[in-house]
Amino acid sequence: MARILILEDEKAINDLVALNLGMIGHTAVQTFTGREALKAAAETPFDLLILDVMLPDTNGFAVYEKLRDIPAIFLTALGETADKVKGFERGADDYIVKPFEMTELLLRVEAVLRRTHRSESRYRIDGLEVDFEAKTVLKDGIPVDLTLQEYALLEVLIKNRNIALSRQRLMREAWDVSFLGESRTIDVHIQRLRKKLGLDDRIKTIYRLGYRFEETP
Amino acid sequence: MKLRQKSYFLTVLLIGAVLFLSTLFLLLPNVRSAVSSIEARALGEEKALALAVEGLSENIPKEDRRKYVRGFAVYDSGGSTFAVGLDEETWIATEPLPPETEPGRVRWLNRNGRTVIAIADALSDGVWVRYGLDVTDELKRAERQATGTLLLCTCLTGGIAVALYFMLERLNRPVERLAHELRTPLTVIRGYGELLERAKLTPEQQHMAASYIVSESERLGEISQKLLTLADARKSAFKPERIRLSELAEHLKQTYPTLETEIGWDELTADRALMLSLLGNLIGNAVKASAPGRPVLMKAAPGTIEIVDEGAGMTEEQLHYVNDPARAKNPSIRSGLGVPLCHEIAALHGATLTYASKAGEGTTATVHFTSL
Repeated sequence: MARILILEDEKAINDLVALNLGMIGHTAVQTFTGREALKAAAETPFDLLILDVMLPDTNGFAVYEKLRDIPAIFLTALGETADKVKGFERGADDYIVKPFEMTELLLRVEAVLRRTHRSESRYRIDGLEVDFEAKTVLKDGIPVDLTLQEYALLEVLIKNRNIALSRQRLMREAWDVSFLGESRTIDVHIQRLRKKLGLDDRIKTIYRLGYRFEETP
Repeated sequence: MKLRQKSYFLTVLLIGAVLFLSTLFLLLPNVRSAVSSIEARALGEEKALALAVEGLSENIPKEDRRKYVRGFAVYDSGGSTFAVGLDEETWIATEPLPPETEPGRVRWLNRNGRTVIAIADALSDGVWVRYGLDVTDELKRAERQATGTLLLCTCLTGGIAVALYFMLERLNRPVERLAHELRTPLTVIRGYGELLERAKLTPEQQHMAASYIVSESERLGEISQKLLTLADARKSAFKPERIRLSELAEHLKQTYPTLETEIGWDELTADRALMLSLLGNLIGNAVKASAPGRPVLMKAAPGTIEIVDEGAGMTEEQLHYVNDPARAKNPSIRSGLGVPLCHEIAALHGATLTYASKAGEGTTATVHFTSL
C-alpha cells in the first residue's frame, strides 16, 4: 500500500484526508507546516504528496519544489485558477479544488499512483488473491474465470474498499458508462461476483446507496 | 491577475463600448443635421438671389441692376447676365438654361481644395442661375464640433467605465472573501458527512466526524455574523452615541474573562454595536494569540484604545499585511474577515487601526481616534 504525506494546515481537512486514505489501506502521515513536511519527507520515502497550496509558513509550491521526485496532488481553493496553472507548469500530477468530494480525491490518488507505478499490484483476503497487473483472480490458489465487466467491478470495489459506492459511480468507474439508465445491471454482476468468489460477507449492499467492499465484516 | 478580475475588466470594457457606440449613434444625426442646415441655407440664399436676378432681368435696365441688388455686382458677359456676389464666398451666374440641366439640383463640388455647394435654377424667362456657396469654413467648424463632442464622450465613457470597474471590484471584494472563507467549512462538513454515510467507521471515528461537522457549522455561523456586521457597517446603519468606556469594558469582560482594563478615558462617541464588534474582534484575536489563561490588557487614554497581549506575536510580513487595510483584504492572507472588518469599522469612526508586534513577545493593537 502507498505511503502518503499530507500537508494541510487545516486540521479538520488534514484529518479528513488521512481518515479516507486509511479507509482504503494507505498509510498517511499528517503534517501541518512546510517545515514538518520537509522533515518527514527527509526521514522516510513517500509514494505521494497531497498538499494544500496556501500554508501559514510557506506555500505548497515551495515545498513541492524541494520534493520534486515524489508525485503530488495539490489541494487548491475555488477560483485560484492561476494557482492551478502554476501547479501544472511546475509538474504537479493533479490538483483538486476545495470543496471536494472525498471519493473524487481517492480516485485521483489511485490514478496518480497507477500512473507512477506505485499503486498496489496485488490484494489478498480470505484465500482470494487479485493480481491487478495481470488482471487475474485466484480463489484458494485456483484461477477463477471472470468476465471483463466482473473483473473491473471487483477492482473498483477493492480499490475503494470500506467506502460505499453508488451504482452510478460503479458503472462510471468500472465500465466507463455514464448514462443514467439501468444501473440494476450492477446488481446482477455483483450477485455473480459474490457467487463465484464467495464474497457474500465482503461485498455488502448498503441500503439506498450502493455497495461496499468490507475488509472487517 | 485573477481570472475573475479579468472578467470584470471585460464586463466593464463591454459596457464602455456600448455607451460609446450609443453616444456615437446619438451624435451622428447631429452631424447630419448640421450639414443639412448648411445646405438649407445655401438653397435659401440661392432662391433669394434667383428671385432678385429674375426681377432685374425682366424689368430693370442692365445699368441700374447694381443699385437694386444690394451687395451684388451684375455684369454682362458675352450675351448672358452674370452676377457676382461681393461676398467672396458666394458666386452666382445667370445664363440661358441648357436643356439637359436639371433645375433645382444641389451638388457638392470640390474646387481647389474648397468645398462649394452648387445649385442650378431656371428662371421664368429661360435664363438659368448657377449659384455657388463656399462652405469650407462652415464644414470645418461643424467637423471641429463633432470631433469635440466625440472626444468629450470618449472621456466620459472612459470615466464611467473606470468608476464602474472600481465599484464592481469593491462590491465584489467581500463576496470573494466569503467564497474563500466558506471553503474549509464546506469541505469539512461535506467530507465527514460523506464518511458517515458511506464508510464503516469505529465509534471514535464517528464521534470525530460528528464533532468536526458541528464545529465547522459553528464557524459558518460566525462567518455569517461577521458578514452581517460588515453589511451593516456598509449600509451605514451607523448611529453614533456617547458611550462610557468603563461600561464598554465591563461588557467585554463578560465575554473575555482574561481581559484586564486600564480606563483613562471617560466617554467616546461611537456606534455601540460596531465599537463592541471592533474591540471584541481585537480582544478575541489577542486571546487566541496568548497562552491559555494569560491576561489581555485593554488600555484607554483620551483619543486611543489599546489592546495589549503577551502572546505569540506576528512576523514582519504578517504585520505588513494586517496594518494595511487594502492588503488585509487580500483573500490569500489568512486573517479571515476579522481584520478587514476592524479596519472598516475604525475608518467609519474616523479612526485608524495599527498593530505593533514582535514575534514571541506579543502584539499591541491601537485604535487611534484622529477626528476627535
